[in-house]
Amino acid sequence: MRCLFRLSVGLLAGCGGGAGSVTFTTWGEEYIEDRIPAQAGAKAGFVDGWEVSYARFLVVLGEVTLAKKTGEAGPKQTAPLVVDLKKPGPVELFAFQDVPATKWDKVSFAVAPATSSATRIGAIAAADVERMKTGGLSLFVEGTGTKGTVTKRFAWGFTTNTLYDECQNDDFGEGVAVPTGGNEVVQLTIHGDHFWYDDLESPDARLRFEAIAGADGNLDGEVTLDELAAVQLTSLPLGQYGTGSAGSVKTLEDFVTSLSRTVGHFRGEGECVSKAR
Amino acid sequence: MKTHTRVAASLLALLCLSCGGTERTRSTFPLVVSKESGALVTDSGWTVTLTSATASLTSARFFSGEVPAISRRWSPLDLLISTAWAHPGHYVPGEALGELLTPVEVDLLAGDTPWGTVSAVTGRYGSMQLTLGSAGLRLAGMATKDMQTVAFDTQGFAPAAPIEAIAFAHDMDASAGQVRLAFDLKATVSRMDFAQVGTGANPLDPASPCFNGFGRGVQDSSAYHATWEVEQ
Repeated sequence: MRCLFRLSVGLLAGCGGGAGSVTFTTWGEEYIEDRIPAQAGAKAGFVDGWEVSYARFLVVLGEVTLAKKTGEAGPKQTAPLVVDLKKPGPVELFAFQDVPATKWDKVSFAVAPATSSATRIGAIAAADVERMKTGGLSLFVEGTGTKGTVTKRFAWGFTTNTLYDECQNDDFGEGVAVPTGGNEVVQLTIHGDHFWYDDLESPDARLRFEAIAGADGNLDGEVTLDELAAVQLTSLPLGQYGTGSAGSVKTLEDFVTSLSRTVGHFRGEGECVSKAR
Repeated sequence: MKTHTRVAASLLALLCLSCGGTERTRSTFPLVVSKESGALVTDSGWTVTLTSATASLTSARFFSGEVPAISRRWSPLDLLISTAWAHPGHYVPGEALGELLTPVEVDLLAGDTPWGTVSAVTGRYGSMQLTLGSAGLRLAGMATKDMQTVAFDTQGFAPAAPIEAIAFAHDMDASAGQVRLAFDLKATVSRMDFAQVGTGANPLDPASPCFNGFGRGVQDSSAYHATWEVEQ
């Protein structure tokens, strides 16, 4: 079925040399809108019994580009768009109109620091947009981790600048095929569970919060990035928080900052090449 | 299916493909083991002088998949290096292109140690995987800082899983040469803080943060440099 779908879209895109449109949306899925639960049986979640709920998940998306690997350039969107993925989605970001109907196999987008020209999209508080602009933030996540009667708050802003390039999806293939006279919807999916992986490269990475909660050095109930920076990975069990080839990642702050560069996905579970800028 | 069986099957499949007219052909090349030169200074300021450095190696495997680099801190190199799929665990080994399965004990302070000959096929290489034997990597020597000297012996440490994603980008053809696997012991010891040795440094307390740092260094795939050397 998937192959037939891909084939039909490809054929439509390849016929006649006309034009179509592409609408880009974004969504944080249930993990951001609702919560990330503790693992229960076969149901995925935190392996250490914690669960996490986001109160805000602000992300700055932009630089959405269609191109071809042959070098042909397509349309490019430049304005930074600020979205709160805690609000019910998916949220429509913008649309490219009159796009040549063809297969654009090199699609990219950025999660980059907000500038003064950043535009609010969907239901997001004006104060949150201002927070991103004044802080030059690309991501801001706020929420709680809970286990039994213990709750830890977090509110972390990141200024990381990441290009998600050469995006592809198993169901749709590389990039996007624009159909003649039609509209193709492309979702830039954000994965909220990535902040909690316990390994940067291992395929066996699991979701954990215990070490994050334990970083609350002043026991005020809030875990700050400064407190994460005070936790050397060497103080954590050897089997957790592995860094693979990222030898410069030494603290929990380094670790979650690295993970912040992995939240961008393409049309659900699709992936992109992540490039730090 | 165990890893070595999968690799063997992949190699066999690739060799069969090469019979059918693809670009891959059978190849072999030597693998030599050494260590990088240079002073060993840890992140916490300890200068390490080694009196012993031994490694128990059981296998080396080569793959087409390139090494992820998403999690490094930003550096100017990021402008030059194509990086990884945006997901933890998405280092994909890809095709198995070569393997050496002969166990060897290496004295890293003794200079170059020939490991053996890798059975391989030609093609674009991206990474290698290293498996340590049960004796693992063991370092002994002295660490000094601020007039304080600590004699240490890590005892052997071997990760439970192979060390994956060691960068090795090379277009392997029939040219004569060898692969050098160099241990970057500065990276290996970088996380070791000899002020945190728990119940002792000689032998090093395996429950101490210092040993934890050693273990993480052994598992750090950037602490192994694989390069191709053209035969002169």
